[in-house]
Amino acid sequence: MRTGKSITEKRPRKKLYSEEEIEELEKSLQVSLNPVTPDPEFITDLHRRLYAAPIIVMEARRAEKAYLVIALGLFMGALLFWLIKSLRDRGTTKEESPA
Amino acid sequence: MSDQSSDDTALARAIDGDNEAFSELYQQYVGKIYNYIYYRTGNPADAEDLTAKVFHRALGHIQSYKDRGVPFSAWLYRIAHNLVANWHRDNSRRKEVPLEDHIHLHQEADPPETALVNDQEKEVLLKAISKLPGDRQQLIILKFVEHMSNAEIATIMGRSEGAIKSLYHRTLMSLRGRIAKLNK
Repeated sequence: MRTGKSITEKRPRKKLYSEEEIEELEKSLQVSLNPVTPDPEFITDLHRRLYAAPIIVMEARRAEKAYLVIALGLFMGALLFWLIKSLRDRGTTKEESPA
Repeated sequence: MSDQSSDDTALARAIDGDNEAFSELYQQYVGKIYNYIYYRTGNPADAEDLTAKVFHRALGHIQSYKDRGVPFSAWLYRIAHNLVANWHRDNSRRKEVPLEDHIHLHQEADPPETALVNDQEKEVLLKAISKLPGDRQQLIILKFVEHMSNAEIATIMGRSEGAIKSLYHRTLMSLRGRIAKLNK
């Protein structure tokens, strides 16, 4: 049912601030947000660590883990298949044998 | 942003496996990336940890880097932005320590009474910034900490210059509203 009010009337309007207020905010941001200097020891240490720890080892570990999971999955699948097949075969042999 | 041509040369060498070239890029950007992460996390220890992750990831993937016409810095900021987003997601369950608790507010040269007023204003401002959505925080940091132009920010954030101008205006309006609420 129509109430007679337009959609724009229903929505609460966001307050608009004056240019002066926005300029003041920009000034506060300029004053408050200053660049920080990281600890020089951290910079040197990270630089050393970047070349000391080969990233490839981490990637290789991840790949090894993936291969292991795939191999385990295939083994479990094969085992399950063999179990089902052997159970079925046993059932068929029982049915065929004279009572 | 720094000199694009020298960046490109160093980048091309780094892609070819030249560690010294990557080292040049590291020296050039480590401070900027640290600053960005510091203001997004408000915590020097986490800023160091995440900065280290950014450069480890960059070094690990530099040889598969594809030039899509955006500067190398944009790639680094993108990695940093994603890591910060993951950090916020992982920390959402833990109690967050407010930005204003970490960032050094008081400046030595201020007289005590001025310093108190300034510290209170800054505290409110930093609290209001920390409540903004991630992309708006990124815009504010790149503009006021890194002093980047709208065009540079647009490249980093993968948007048009017009979109950045509009987002900047909306961000200021929203920030002003949040500050007014916090001051009530």
